[in-house]
Amino acid sequence: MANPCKYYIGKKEYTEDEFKKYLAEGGLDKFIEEGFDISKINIGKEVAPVSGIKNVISEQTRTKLGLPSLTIPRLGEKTTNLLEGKRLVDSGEISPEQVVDRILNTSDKGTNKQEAQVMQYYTRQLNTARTEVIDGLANQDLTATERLDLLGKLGQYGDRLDEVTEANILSGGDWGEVGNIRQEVYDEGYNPVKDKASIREIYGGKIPDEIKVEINKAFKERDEALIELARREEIIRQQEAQLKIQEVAKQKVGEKVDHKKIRTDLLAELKEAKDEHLKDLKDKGIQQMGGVNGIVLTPKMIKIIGKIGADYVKEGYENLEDVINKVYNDVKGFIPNIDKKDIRDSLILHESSRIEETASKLEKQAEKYEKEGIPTKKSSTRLKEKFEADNEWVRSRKKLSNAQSKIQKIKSVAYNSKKSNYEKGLLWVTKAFRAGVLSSYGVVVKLASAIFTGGIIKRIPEQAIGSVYSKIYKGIAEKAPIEGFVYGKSEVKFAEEFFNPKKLAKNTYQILKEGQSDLSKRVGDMVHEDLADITMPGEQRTKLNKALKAGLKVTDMILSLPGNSHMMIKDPLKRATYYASYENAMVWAEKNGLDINDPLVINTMENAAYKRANYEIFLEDNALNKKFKAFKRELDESGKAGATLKAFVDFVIPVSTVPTNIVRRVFSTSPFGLAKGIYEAEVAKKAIKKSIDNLETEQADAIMRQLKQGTLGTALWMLGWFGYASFGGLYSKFDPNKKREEGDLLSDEMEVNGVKIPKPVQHAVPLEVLQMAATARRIYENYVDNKGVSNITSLTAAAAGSIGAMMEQIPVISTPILLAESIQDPSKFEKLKEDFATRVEPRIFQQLGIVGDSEVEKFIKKNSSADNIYKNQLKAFDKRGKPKEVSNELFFNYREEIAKEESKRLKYMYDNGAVASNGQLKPFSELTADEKAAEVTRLKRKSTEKVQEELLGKKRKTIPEIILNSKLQKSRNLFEKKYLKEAK
Amino acid sequence: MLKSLLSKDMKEGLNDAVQVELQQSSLWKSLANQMQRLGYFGSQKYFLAESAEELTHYQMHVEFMNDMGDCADLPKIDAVNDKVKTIGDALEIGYEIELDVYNQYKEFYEKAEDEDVVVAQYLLQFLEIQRKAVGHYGDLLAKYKVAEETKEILEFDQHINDL
Repeated sequence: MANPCKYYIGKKEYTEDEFKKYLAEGGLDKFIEEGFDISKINIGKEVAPVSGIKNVISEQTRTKLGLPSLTIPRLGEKTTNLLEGKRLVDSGEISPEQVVDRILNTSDKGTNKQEAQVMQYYTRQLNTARTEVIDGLANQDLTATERLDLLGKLGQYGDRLDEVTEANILSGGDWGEVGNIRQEVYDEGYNPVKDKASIREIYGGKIPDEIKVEINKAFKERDEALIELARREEIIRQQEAQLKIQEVAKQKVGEKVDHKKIRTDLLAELKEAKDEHLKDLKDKGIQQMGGVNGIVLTPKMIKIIGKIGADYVKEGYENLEDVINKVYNDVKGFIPNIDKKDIRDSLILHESSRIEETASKLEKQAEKYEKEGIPTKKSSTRLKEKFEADNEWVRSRKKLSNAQSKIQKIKSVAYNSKKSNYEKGLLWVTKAFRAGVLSSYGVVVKLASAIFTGGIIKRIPEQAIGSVYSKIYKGIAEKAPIEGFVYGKSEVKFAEEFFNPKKLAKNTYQILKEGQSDLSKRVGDMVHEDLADITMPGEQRTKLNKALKAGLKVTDMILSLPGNSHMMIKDPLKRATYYASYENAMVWAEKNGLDINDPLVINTMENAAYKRANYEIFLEDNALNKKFKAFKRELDESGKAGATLKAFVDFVIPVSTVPTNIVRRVFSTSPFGLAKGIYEAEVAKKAIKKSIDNLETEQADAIMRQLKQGTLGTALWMLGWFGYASFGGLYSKFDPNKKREEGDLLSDEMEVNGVKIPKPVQHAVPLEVLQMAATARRIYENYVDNKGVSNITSLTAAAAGSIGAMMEQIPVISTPILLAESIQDPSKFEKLKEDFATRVEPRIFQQLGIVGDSEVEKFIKKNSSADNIYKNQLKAFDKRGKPKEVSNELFFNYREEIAKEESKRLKYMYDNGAVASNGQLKPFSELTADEKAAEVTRLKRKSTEKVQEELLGKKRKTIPEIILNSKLQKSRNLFEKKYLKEAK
Repeated sequence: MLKSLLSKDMKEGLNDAVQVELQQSSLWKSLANQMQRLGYFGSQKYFLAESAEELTHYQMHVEFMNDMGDCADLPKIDAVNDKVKTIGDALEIGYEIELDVYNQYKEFYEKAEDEDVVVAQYLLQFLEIQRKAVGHYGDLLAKYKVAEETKEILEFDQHINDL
């Protein structure tokens, strides 16, 4: 049997034999030599018709606007599934009802791919039918019987959808393969049947009455919003049609015209147009996309119907309903599935030159863009229908997303419903601890710094670098929707969103009130966990219970405040990144011939942009975090003991995602990141050249992002490495502070132009990168200078030390280490105990001095270095001054003594002050920051010297060492003398 | 002015020897003081005598350099921080130091032998002094260990100058 695959080079089609011949004759080499884009070659798969940029206006919109039809746009595998599903149903090969019944009522839950395709198509049919009912309900002229009938249908479709969804969930595998997209794609109005099925499943098949009330309420709200949306659309369309009649009526001429003949001719023309359309479809061998609606009216047909309607107006019919009825009676004979709304809409479009003009203009711009690759301001502007500007319509749209959010919340309540009171109590405790930790204003400053410095300042060079890489790795850039190319308008959008005070105020209020912004509600998947609802689900009946629940709600709100305040800070960057990414993605979509009015495309791009926005605020999922979350989920699902353990884990590691991602970002913003980016890009580039790539858009985006970050990171690394004198680096036992010379910066210090950068601010990724590079350099210098080891050993120590220093910032890693260490090491145990004790008292209270340590205790804790002493750093000597082994006992003893000594001296300094730089004794409060730092360093050095000598002994200087030192000193003196002389 | 008969290296070696003797003298003084503080007056005397003896060695170097038409530099002497709690500690330090000095003179002699026989001939006496010193401290340490075991530290202290 011949290979059915077609081969395409550019737009030219080859059979297998022809393609082989082409290759044998060196055609492919010639193709490459001539510089043609090799990615245009499609081998072994059916070509995606290149519909090009003209699809900036969707087929449906084009039809409405009277523009000529185009080839079926490339809609990918999803549409193929749908079309295949339709074929299978229409041909009677598979009955969807039977598949659903089998899955629900027998033990055979599996489906093959064909059945899954059928299910997908069937769900779409049901959804469309349901949407039609909603549209019907929007009609204000319905009689009570008609309304009841439609409401009944709405319920029936809803139930059937519930069944199909449940079957889809139960059938597993293929649901994931072909079904997942359905909810997002075909359900514009958000149909939460999947959630409803999940809720029922969680409750073991029977939803409790009070929850049922809540669900029904939410569903009702959703339906009302949908009906209201449809109603507003109807009203506005009706108004448009009315205006059109008035407009046409003005064109009436006095002379006598044979209207009947005109209409007979037009009807003949219409019939011809319909036949032509059907023939065209048959020739192309494609199924009509109208699905359950039957055929779609072509632009030509719409124009003719509009003309027939206009002719009735000219004849004297000025009542809209009359005109529609007349036309309907004329055409229904040969277009059976046409309805009166189609006729009205055709009338609206009659001679609508302005809309046609706009559409043509957009097409021209798009064509120019396709040719020149330069986006125009309007090229990715979606055509908006009139009703989209209607205030009531917008309000209803918001109601819809609120209903969606409510249903999500019910799901969360359902999930937690099986929890015992003890487990629910644990949820409150965990939330309270977490709130306590998040309430630190240090964390807030850290976040704000990461957002502003990391988000804004970093974006400018990163995008500039990106535009260079777009040229180097054009093939990859073309596949990357968000990171591929840099567009001015996206950057403008970014700035507009970021610096929009109105939106900032609005979102701040909304996040405070509801825990998430409109954007998160609409696109995000994070469910706001309402503890009050989880504790007391459903609507409360007695007054006491109502009051109790209100109290819980207030408590929950207060406990959510710290977390919400973080969200508020992150919101501008998240929003700005989202909109800028969305702009980029839409430009990419139209460049790739996707229909940017298609809900599938919009939804996909929205999701990609939202993911990118989350990445920017360090909320993306990473492997470590995923495992950590899965581990917690497992605990949570394993009864009381598991829940207790989970609460403990949450207590120990209250935040995991953001710190882990910040560290990941620091690594990707570095020469390692660049190396990774270039390696991946080269692999992908080669694959693209050979046309064997299966580079996903997401991967292409990741590569481009990695290249940008890596390059910027390399520059920052160079700055940190060479300018390490201005950066103290992160704390590392490979280069401890006590080994640094006086006047040198300590770890976690940073100085730019003489100004010290506060530690929380240093948490912005670019500054962290600088610090990490400085850490590596400092360790390297320490090893070369002080330990006299080789360059390779020093570099190894630098790499290990800087990575280790960074790792200590990841709670998921560092806390378990501390836990393990505390078993053996009493001082670590003390530290852990202290750490846990502070968790119980909210940070903000500690910082405000309401609870926790006194000022002097804070000062001592902040400056004490005992915890940063490691056993392998210590050197002990016997009484003859010869090295001896450091036992564990000696080590712990030493650390304890250091802590005591330091604390004694630091307290003395706090109480009595210190000698300032002018040689005068000053009270502590009058010392400058530099004077304090210098004195603290001196005190710590003295403490170390004392304890070291007492406990660790001293290395005796041998005679050769004494002589050598003396000679070195002599040379130094001579050099200084000479230098001073020359300087004079 | 007369030209120095010492080469640069030989002068450097002798200056090092001057420093060694002064440093040792200073160290013995420090140990003597600590012994006095601990109540070991015999040991105090012993280390004071040691200190004085180092100064005679120092003076010998000065004289020799003068004979060779040169002048000894007076070096900066490092502070002595070694802390001891027993006579044994002090003797151990003494032994280590004498051993260091022994090696120092040995090395210097080997160099001088190739370069300047006069300096080498002069150094021979110090090789003997250091050999005996190392041996003496070794003996003292051994005796101290016995005294420690037999709990006769005070007797040891009393007779240290006679040993």
